[in-house]
Amino acid sequence: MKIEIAREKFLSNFEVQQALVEIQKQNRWNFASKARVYKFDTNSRNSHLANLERITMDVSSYLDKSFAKNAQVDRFVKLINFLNGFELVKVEKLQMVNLLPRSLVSVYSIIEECDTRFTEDECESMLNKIEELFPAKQETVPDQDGDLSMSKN
Amino acid sequence: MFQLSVISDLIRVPPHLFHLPTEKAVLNEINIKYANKVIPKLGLFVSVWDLMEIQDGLLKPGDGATYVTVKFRGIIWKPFVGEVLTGWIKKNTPEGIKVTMEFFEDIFIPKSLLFENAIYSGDEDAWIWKPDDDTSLYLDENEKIYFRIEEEVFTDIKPKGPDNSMNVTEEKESDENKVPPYAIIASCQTEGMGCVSWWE
Repeated sequence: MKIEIAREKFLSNFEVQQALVEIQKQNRWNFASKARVYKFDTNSRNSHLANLERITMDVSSYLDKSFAKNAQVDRFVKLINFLNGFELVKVEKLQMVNLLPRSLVSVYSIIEECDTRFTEDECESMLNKIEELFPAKQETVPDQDGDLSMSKN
Repeated sequence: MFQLSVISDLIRVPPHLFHLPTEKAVLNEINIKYANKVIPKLGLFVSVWDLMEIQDGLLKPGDGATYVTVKFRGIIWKPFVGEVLTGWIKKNTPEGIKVTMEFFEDIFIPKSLLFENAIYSGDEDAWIWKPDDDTSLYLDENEKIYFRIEEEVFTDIKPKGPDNSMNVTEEKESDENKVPPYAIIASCQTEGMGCVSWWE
């Protein structure tokens, strides 16, 4: 094995998710049941691809939790086009797209020296754009983890 | 962060796959060889993205299979230093926090890279951060957290020799303590890190 180019391109989480869905479709793997009781059929003809099955399942289950259900290609394109208006480094844009920050403090943690490079209004406008394209629906359903920490405090 | 890497390799296509189109057979074999494996100094191989070049197969005397030189692009998971990621707390220990990302579990936040005023509470099995005297924020197990990548550690895992011991329990113990081929050291000490729910 020879590594020709270690890092040819970056991929956003969304692109990876789409590729994995395609692989799962081709192999007719169905992880629709979210319960993690999925059993690997060792007798099936594809059992030699168990490693691929495992990783696609785990990665897509992780990615599923990271963005809204209404995520679509054109929305990501719009967001990137909007972010292109700022002087952001490629990896910063990529993290914005992957993490979809919802608060100023998250934006500050993604963008290096954010306070000197951008004004607060500019950061706010980024947040507004994210909220506009990917409305956070999850907040209506409080997740268990959040509840736990609340009760302990 | 996922990325594409260009890799070339000599792939063995066994005779029972000769009825398939070459691309399909080669693709399958690459996925069998690499999927869900760590490539040293590179990262975790997820799947083939596309095939770039397939050369004519070669034969070896005494083997019915063909050997094909392939150049392909793979989806590799390799976070870069300074990247912010989300994960879930798998285990709290006095030494630090173990984080899981479902498909990758060897992420560790040592206590030296945790918040300055964080203390470990053995009774509650949690790390507690006290930003000021009146507030205490809990890092409980299974909480979704933001963390920053500080360092990646690759370990060369040598193949195991034959195991002659009859003791099964002993083997299990060593399994738990084995060194992962790819481990990540993360930090959680600046604003914006820690539980996702704190910052919303």
